[in-house]
Amino acid sequence: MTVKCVVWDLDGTVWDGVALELAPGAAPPPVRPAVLRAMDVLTARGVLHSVASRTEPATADLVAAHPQLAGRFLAPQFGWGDKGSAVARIAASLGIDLSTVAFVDDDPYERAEVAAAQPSVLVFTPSELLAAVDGPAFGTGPVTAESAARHELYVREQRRRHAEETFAGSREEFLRWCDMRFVVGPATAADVPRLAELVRRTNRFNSGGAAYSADEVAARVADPAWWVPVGRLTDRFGDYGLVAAAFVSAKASGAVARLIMVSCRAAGREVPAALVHVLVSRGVRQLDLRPSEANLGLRMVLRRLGFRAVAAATDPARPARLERADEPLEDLPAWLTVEAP
Amino acid sequence: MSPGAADAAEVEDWLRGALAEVTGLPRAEVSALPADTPLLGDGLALTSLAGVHLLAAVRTHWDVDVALLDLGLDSLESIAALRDFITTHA
Repeated sequence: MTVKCVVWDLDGTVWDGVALELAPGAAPPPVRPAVLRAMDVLTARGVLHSVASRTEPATADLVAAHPQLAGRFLAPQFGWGDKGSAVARIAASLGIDLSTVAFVDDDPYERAEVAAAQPSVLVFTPSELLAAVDGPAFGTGPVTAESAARHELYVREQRRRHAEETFAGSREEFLRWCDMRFVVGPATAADVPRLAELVRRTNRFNSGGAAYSADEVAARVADPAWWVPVGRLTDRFGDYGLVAAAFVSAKASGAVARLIMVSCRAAGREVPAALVHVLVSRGVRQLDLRPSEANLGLRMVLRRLGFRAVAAATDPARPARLERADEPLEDLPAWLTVEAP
Repeated sequence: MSPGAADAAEVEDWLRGALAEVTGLPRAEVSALPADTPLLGDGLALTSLAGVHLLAAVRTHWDVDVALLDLGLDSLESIAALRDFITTHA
């Protein structure tokens, strides 16, 4: 599983010493150069950063004003509570699975507490983390526009959430005001790196039917026997880029969606249902599924839109098959505009 | 709990409470719904996140892993269908 967010401890990990022990008015401790480099490398690869620091909540002000750290951390957690809970709050706030979170702390007690409370989180000492930055856990594929801008996307998402909380009107009215547009078109060669990235990174809204390599993605995009629709999402807060895709193979028995996938950040806005709508409207009635605990949410969307299991997979190496009868689809919400020319 | 030992009425009562919790609807409102009310789409219109929470609660309380046992999630057809699925597998 590719790491999507690194949760940093501060004292003794990001910087030397203990910030609370600084003299009043003293300059904040500088970030260790190797840590700063690791943060920059990971940000360029689309890995987010957060912080879980056992300290006075006022340390938040120090970090917010820190010349090397200001604006780096999403959903930061400062306080005296346990870090296992802090890590869970960060994952929930970012909408990512705990198995895609790495936690780094110099204190063996904190590492053991997080490892016990959240066994799916990858736990590192600072030196282990620095050594692992260039390894496979942190994504080794090419840097795409979406990954380099991922931090910005999450910042925008937090702005959007704030706007929703303070919006004077119903949730329905807010969603309409957002002016969400999901535009679907055929993939081109330029989309291949982002598609390969979605194959690697999505899990909650990934049907799991196939795990293509970048070469296999490129071959299918170029092959006229395959239809590879890609969907881009925009709203009044900006452009979320390529957030959804499907790989559909044409067979004599009908088109089969071998893989569908939607980025987590678009999942709460009916994008999975919109993608399935587009597929069904183009005659796709069969879909390969490798059911897992992680993709339960997608399975619910498929069930809601009429896909039924026809047979359990007898060979565990092969995906199961879902089929849909030729019956009307329920309408998508009026606040989402879908364009599929 | 031994196989088949769960009581359907007890399961349904628990299930309506769990549905009230994950949807945020008043318990009395959920209690008044017909048993054939769909859980997804028209009906209770569970979001996928609420559905994930509901099935997590089913697994914790009844030790029934719906996600694992029911590939196509047929048990989410209605309140009655999920009640029967839990009753059979608990």
